[in-house]
Amino acid sequence: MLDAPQVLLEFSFLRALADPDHADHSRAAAEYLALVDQFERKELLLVAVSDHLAEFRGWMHRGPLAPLDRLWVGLQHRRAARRLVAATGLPHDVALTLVMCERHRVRRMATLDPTFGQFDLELLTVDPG
Amino acid sequence: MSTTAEAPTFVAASTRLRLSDLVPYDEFRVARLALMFEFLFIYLWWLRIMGLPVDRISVAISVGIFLVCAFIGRSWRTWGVLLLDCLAYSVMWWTYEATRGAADDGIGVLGLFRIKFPRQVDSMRDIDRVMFFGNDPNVVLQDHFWEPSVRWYDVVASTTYMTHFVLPIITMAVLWVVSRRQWVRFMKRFATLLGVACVLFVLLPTVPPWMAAEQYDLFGRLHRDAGRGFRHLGFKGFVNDYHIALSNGNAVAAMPSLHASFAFVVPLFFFEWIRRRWVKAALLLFPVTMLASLVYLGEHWVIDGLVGWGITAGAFWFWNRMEQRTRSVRSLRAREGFPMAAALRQPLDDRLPAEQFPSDQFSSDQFTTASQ
Repeated sequence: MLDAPQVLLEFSFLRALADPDHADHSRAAAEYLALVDQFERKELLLVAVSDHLAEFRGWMHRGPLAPLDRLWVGLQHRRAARRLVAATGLPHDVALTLVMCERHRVRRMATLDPTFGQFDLELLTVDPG
Repeated sequence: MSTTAEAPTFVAASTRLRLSDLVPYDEFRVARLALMFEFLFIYLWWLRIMGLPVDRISVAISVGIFLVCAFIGRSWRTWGVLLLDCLAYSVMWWTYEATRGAADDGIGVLGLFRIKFPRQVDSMRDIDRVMFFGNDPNVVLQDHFWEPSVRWYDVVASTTYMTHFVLPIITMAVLWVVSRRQWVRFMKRFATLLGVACVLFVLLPTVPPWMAAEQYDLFGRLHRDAGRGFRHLGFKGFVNDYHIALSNGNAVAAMPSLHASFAFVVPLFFFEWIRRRWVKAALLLFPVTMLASLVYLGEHWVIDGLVGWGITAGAFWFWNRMEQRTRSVRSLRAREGFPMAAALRQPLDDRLPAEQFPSDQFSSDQFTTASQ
């Protein structure tokens, strides 16, 4: 409501960003920098799930992921994700990401995982090269 | 999208499952909302029957109860952050209260001696008289408007005066619940103006107009009864509490006026979300009414309020710049992390004419369109 819209960088997108050998690395980096421009202009906030960022510890604060804020995963989020997995059969990681999006009112996501295309999220598209 | 310099485009899937239908409902959300409404009801009942709590302890207890209602079922980490925030908040007010002693007793230097700063008895009055062509605004307003019976403008002045004790606190509590990010932004500005005010309280202990009239006989008698309009509305308990709180206050702390500052800091904070100019102008009437009330009630000199507004504006200027700087530094770190992508973007950005690359192309309107 008061904050700028949040864009969640999903794990697959983060992995593509962090891995120079990833097939989508350069395109993900370009998209990320475009998002960063908008972050600098106060037009959006960049967020990621804390569990996902655990793999990129050195990239936060003073690293390339400095613009990101963490969405901290609490016990109630894990509990809700487990219930979602039981109800839908979705992978746990996808379920947890969806729970975090819903509880933190995130409606925009940058991802390379096509699974998220079936939910009412606005997805950042990364064109194939 | 493949052009590196373009803003990203978000697209929505054609057939989509609604997250709100899919993700298990936060069962504590209902409890939080119910408790917050219950708190609001009890608070209003208390306000009417017992009076508004204005002393620091009562306010802290009421804010604490509200926050407990608002944070039930949140994660332990959130509670931990809340406790740290409360600690910082308490330290801020403790520092403010501590300046009372420093203003009265001076500042001790290594326990060897104390530096006492001289009381400003007539300097602020002189500035007011220069600004108002030799007139004392407090005296002029009271001469023209003060009557033995309570008039409508007494109610307005008194009510506006009393909002000082609740408006910033309500703003903080609501921001705390709605967005901690915005709460932190608000508190940076609030704490800065409070800190600068504390320094001025010590360096420039200023006698308020009512005291200048009562104890220094600078001009004829000034009426001092800021609560009479409120009493007229039936809020008797509030005024009784207020008198207790006032007896503990720092009486020689007129410069700057925190009443005027707090009345300015709240509307100013919300300006960036308000598009219409007339709404902004209407909001600015509040600090203006506050300053007029302070002068009419004999609580402050005009210059106290103007300096308070200046400090508030300065705090906003400073933190707006700092926050933009922080965003730029964080963005720079991202660009440095991907030098190849950044290098590809830069020349293309330079080549694009402004109309092809509008700054607002990522606006919420476009997102709405994309999701339809």
